[in-house]
Amino acid sequence: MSAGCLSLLMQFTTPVCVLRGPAHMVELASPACCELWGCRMEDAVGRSLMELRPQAALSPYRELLDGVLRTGERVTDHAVPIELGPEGQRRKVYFNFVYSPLRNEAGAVDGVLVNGFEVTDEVRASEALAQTVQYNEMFAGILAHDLRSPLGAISTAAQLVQMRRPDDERIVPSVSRILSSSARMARMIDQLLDFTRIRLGGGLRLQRNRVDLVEMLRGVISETESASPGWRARVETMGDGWGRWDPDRMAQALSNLAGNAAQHGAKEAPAMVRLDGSDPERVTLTFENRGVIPTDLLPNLFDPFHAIQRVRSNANGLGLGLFIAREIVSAHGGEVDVASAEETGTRFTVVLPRASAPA
Amino acid sequence: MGVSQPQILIVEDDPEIRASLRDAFEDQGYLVRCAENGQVALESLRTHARPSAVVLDLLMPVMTGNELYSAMQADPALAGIPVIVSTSEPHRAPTGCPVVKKPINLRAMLATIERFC
Repeated sequence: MSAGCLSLLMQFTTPVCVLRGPAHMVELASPACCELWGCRMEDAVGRSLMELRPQAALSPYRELLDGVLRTGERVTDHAVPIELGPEGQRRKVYFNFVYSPLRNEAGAVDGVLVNGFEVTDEVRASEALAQTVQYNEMFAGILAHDLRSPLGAISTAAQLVQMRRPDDERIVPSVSRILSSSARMARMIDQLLDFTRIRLGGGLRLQRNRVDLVEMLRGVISETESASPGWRARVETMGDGWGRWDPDRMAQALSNLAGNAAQHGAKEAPAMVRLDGSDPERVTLTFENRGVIPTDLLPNLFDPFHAIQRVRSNANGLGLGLFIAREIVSAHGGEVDVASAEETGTRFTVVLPRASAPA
Repeated sequence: MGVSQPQILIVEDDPEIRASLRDAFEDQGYLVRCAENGQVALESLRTHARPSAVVLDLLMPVMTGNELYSAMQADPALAGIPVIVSTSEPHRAPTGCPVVKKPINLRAMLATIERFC
């Protein structure tokens, strides 16, 4: 090594080393690199990395180094944890390592330049953020759960007033408003609880049973029409709608999709809902309406709280309906997709495997 | 409803919901007893007249609704009493019990009770 080269290397404050050949012999190593290895530079140069750091022979580093020699492609290994310091004072740090191929005069790859960048602060910040997000979601879940009881008490008491004074015109409209607002809040709480269950890893519990989606779909559309004055849908079905799904969850998914169509679809033309059960393996449902979703919203339409990310133009929900519908369909092994254009309107397509439906 | 006044035992830890259910059932002519958890309910079932039906919440302190239901099924004197589960999480209800989902629809609750009284 030339004196200039060595002098330059000594000024590196980050781990840098050059490894040569299939044995990954250390040709150069910066002081910071030697500190990571726990040895002096003169003890490192000329020795194989595997000899210097026997644990490296068994670790993914060996595979990474071999891969760079074999393919000649640069590889980055992110947030690699390393224990630094003497016994009893060890601290954990994180590095990103970039493995770059080195070529000889003939152009063949015969070595690897390893560059390390400490990212301990970034990793710690990311872990703290993830923890904060998890606490926030747990808090939202606990709050939603605890809000159910007082909300239930409000709703039950309001119904009692309604039953006791059914003809009192001064009371009935106010009680009706209490009840409709309670019902809306209950839906939001249910959605928030579903969201936290999904996000915190519990997932959605499925209790599969033999279900006829044709009958379920007609019921859901009828309920949505009752709840959405002025909105109408035509239902067309073909083939067999039977399969093994969770009836409550599936009704929730269909209700969310129908509710979305009722809320955002054009009122002047009826929505079109089709169920195609002609395939013995799967059932396909489509919800079509004349409404158009702006192109920039389409990629994130199934993201949670998408309505909040937009303008809060309505307060009917939290923007979780489509997210939950997709999670329910996914939990059943199915897929949901959306396409929207000025000429054709909007179409949501749900494909659901029947998951075998014994009689 | 029969000639004698049917009795209903409400097992519910939320005092406001318990009070509204009591009022609604009494308006319909039922005799109502209340318990704030499964343990109080079990003592009531063993020391008082057999009710026509039990309206049972599930998530309660001291003794949950599911624990009370198991204790009732293990006691031949109580096993035959109809139990109507009132819960926001129907999947937790004991198999075979009718469920009125929370928030409670009072008309649905009264219609369900009527089937057993």
